[in-house]
Amino acid sequence: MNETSIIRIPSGIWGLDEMIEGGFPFPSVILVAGSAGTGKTTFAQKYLFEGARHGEQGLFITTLSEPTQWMLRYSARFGFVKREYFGREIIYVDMGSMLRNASGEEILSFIDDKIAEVMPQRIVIDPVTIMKTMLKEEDYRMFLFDLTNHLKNWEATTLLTGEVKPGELYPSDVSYAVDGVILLMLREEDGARRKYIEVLKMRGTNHQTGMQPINIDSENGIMVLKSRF
Amino acid sequence: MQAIIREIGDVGAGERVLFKVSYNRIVQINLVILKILLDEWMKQGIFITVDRPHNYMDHLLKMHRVENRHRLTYIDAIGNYSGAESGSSETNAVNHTPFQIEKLPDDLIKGIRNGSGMVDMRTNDFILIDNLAAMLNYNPLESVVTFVDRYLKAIALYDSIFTALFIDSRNHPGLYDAIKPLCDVELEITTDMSVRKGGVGTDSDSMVKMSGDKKKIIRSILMFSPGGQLEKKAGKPDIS
Repeated sequence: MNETSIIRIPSGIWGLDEMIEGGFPFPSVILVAGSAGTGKTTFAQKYLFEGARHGEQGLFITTLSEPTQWMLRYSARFGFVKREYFGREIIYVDMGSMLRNASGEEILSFIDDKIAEVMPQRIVIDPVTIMKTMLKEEDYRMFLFDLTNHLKNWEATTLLTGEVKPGELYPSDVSYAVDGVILLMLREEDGARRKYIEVLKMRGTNHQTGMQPINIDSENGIMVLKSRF
Repeated sequence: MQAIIREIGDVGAGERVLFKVSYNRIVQINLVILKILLDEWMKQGIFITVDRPHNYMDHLLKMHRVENRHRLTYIDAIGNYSGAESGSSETNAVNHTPFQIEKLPDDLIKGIRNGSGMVDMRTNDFILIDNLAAMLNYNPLESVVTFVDRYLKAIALYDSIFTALFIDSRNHPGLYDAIKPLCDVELEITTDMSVRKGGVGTDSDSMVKMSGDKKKIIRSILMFSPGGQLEKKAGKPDIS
């Protein structure tokens, strides 16, 4: 083993680890981007439950996408969701209400405090792109820089989910600040919408390129299917 | 935390402790040890940061209500390259670089001998490095081993200094194998935060002494009273 080789943690997503040399770099900050309905939250949940299964502490921070109770209500139908992990191995924090009137500094301080309190090895912020609507353009860029820097300083691998606007491939203002970018996409084929995953960027990783089809089922969540290309 | 307090309470002054910690628990263990040393035992010491800027470590200590942060001096080998804001006026920090790390002991030795270097070791009770393996990002393995060897020899000039190193042995077996013989005591922190002595099991009744050198413990800076209560002493180490 190369002593400087990057430590990797399993993503929990079937078939993804083979595409990224065994898992996400630890520590790192990864953006999971996609439009509505592509499976970003399911991806993030599976990632945390995989960690919990290995005795790792998880922290799930929801922003203004939807209240935590609704997210959990729908997530609970997945077979991988073990309710005994709620509030223990996986701590859910709803920062929707505090976000309404907070500055970038206050948001950062809130997240910092939660991390210091929970001491997680796996963190999710779902979605991070909502902050753009709360902050001024220049403040948002600085906020992202400070946020990713703080997250990298903590010993955790963080998933930031990001909403993609119509016509946009990924939120470019976030992608420059993170170590990895994973795209979840919907494409229309033969009159049906099919789901795909693509690893666009993964620093320090010889990752597989190109879109791979995925399936979402109620037992395993997201699964990468064998390439059809 | 109590298990860790118990185990390091048994460590003799001047003994070099190697903590085997999983890669994802090193900061957590750093914080626990610092809390014990600063707040429980009221000690004064040095923390060398290689893995993350000292500002962030200070921030975490503040978050975890470590009151005696002022007793800690940082040697920050990464802050200048981390994008972090410069050190707050609240912290006592000396900046270094993560490169050519083997030169660091020279500065420490100067401090040890005449107090004119980076820090005066005579005023400190302990010295810790956050994560040895992080040095491998900037230095070849041989240099890191050389550094640790010279560093430990420099610290050994003081019998009463508590020294601890932290490493994830599973991911860095080469560094671990090279460092292990340089230390006196090995404590493995498991994922449930229990402590294994020498990594051989929880029921071992004594710590594994790896160097084979019988050390004369002049004064224990980390000790329990006969009744099992923590002895909180703020005294400085005796220098002879």
